[in-house]
Amino acid sequence: MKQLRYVENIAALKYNQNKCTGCEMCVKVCPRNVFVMEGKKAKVADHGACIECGACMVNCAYGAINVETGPGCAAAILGSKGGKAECGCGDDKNTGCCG
Amino acid sequence: MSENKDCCCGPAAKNDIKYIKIGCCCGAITKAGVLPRAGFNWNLSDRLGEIGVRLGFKRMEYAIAPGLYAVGKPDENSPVLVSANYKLSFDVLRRDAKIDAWVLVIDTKGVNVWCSAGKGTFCDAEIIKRIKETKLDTVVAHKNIILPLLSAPGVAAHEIRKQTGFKAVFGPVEARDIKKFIDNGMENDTAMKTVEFPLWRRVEVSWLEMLTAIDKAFWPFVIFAVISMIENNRFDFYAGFYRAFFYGGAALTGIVSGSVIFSMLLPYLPGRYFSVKGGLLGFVTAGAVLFAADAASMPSHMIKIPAFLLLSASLSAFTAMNFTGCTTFTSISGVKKEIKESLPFIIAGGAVAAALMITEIIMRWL
Repeated sequence: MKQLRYVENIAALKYNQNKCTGCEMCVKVCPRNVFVMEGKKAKVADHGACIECGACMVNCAYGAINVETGPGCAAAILGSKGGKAECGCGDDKNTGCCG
Repeated sequence: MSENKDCCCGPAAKNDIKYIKIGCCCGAITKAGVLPRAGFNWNLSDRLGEIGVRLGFKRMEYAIAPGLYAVGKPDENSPVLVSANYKLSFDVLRRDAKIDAWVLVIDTKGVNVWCSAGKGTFCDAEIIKRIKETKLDTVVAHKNIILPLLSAPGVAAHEIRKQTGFKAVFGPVEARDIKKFIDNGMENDTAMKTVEFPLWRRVEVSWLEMLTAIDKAFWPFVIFAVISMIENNRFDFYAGFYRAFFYGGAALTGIVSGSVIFSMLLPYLPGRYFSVKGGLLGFVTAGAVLFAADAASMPSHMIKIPAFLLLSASLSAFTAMNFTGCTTFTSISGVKKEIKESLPFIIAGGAVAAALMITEIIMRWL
C-alpha cells in the first residue's frame, strides 16, 4: 500500500549537515523515511513526509537536527490554551505532565 | 518534545490509576526477586478489555504496574523489550512478538507508546530509572534493550547507554517483526520501520471518534428537540420529536461519515486536508440519505434539504479533522494550517445550517 501523506512543504525540520557524523541514527529512527545516507552523511530525502515527531532530533547526539515538535492532532490543538499544543491523544485526566 | 522534558519524566507523579494485575501463581525466579509472568496468548478478560478500551470504556485506566515482567520462559540471555504500561500495548507485544523475553514496562500513565513518546512520558529518564529500580543487570547477562521504534520521539538512546551501560536499540514498529529484527542482527528493513495504517486499523480507531462526537452532539440535539416541540400556544411532543429527528439524522450522517466511513475511504478521498475530504464525504452521504428518504416530497423542503446537507458536511468535516490525531502521518504545522484555513468554512457551514433550522421553526410559529 502506498504511504499516506499529509500537507507537504510545511514541516519545521532544520538539518545542519556540517554537524553530521554519519552515525545513521536519524535514518534508523525516522518512521517516515525522511533521511537517507549519502556517502558518509545523512541527507533529507523526503522533507514532505516529515510529521515533526522529533525522533531524529532527540536521537541525534550531535545536535545537527532541529524540529519543532507537537501532536499532529486537531483536537489537541483546538483544546490547548493560547495555541500551544500540548498532550493530545485524548487523555488529560492525569496530566501532572506536559501541562 | 525536549522542551517539555523537565515537566515530564519527573518523579513518579501522583498516580491514582488502579493497576490491572498481570500473571498468576508461577512467577519467574530471578536474582532480582520473583517477577510476574505472562504467556503469549490472550484470555477472555484481555479480549474484553481490548473491546472495552476501543469503545472508550475506562480507557485512561487500562494500565499495568511498571516493572520487569517475564513473558514465556525467558532466561538470562533472552532479549529485553521495553513497553508502555498501557495494558493493550503490553498485551499486543506479548501476543505478536511470541518470543520468550523480559519485558520492561515503564510508567507512561497508561498511555500507548506513540502518544506517550510525544507527550514525553515514554522517555529515556524513565527507562533509566526502571532499569536501575528493577536491577535489570542482575536478571540478564547481556547489555541490550529493544525499544519500539515509535518511542523514538521521546527517547534519546545514547543517554540510556551513557547512564546505565545498556545499549538501547530501536526495534520494529510492529511487535510481530521483533523476531525477524533479532534474527536480522538487530536491524530493521524499510518495511519494518514503516508505519502502516491499513483499513482494519483505521476503522478500529474510528469508533471512538464516532462515539465521542455523538456524545458531544447529544445535548444540543435534546435542546433542539424541545424547541421543536413548541408550537403556537401548545406543546407537541411527538410532532416535535419527529421534526428534530430529521436534523438528528443530519448530525448522525455527518458524524458517521466523518469518522467510520471517512476512516475507510481515507486513502481514496480527494484533497490533503482531512476537513476537505470529510466535508465532501459528508455532503455526498447526506445527499444519498436525502434521496433515500425522498426528502423532496417533505414540507418546507427548500429549507430542510440545504440545512441537512450543510449540517452533515460541516459536522463531517470537523469530525474528520479531529481524525488527524488518530493517524501517524500528520504534522503539527500541517494541522495548524488546516485548522486555520478550514475552521472558518466549517463554522460558516454550521451557522448557515443553524440559521435555516431556526428559520423553519419561526415560520412554523408565524
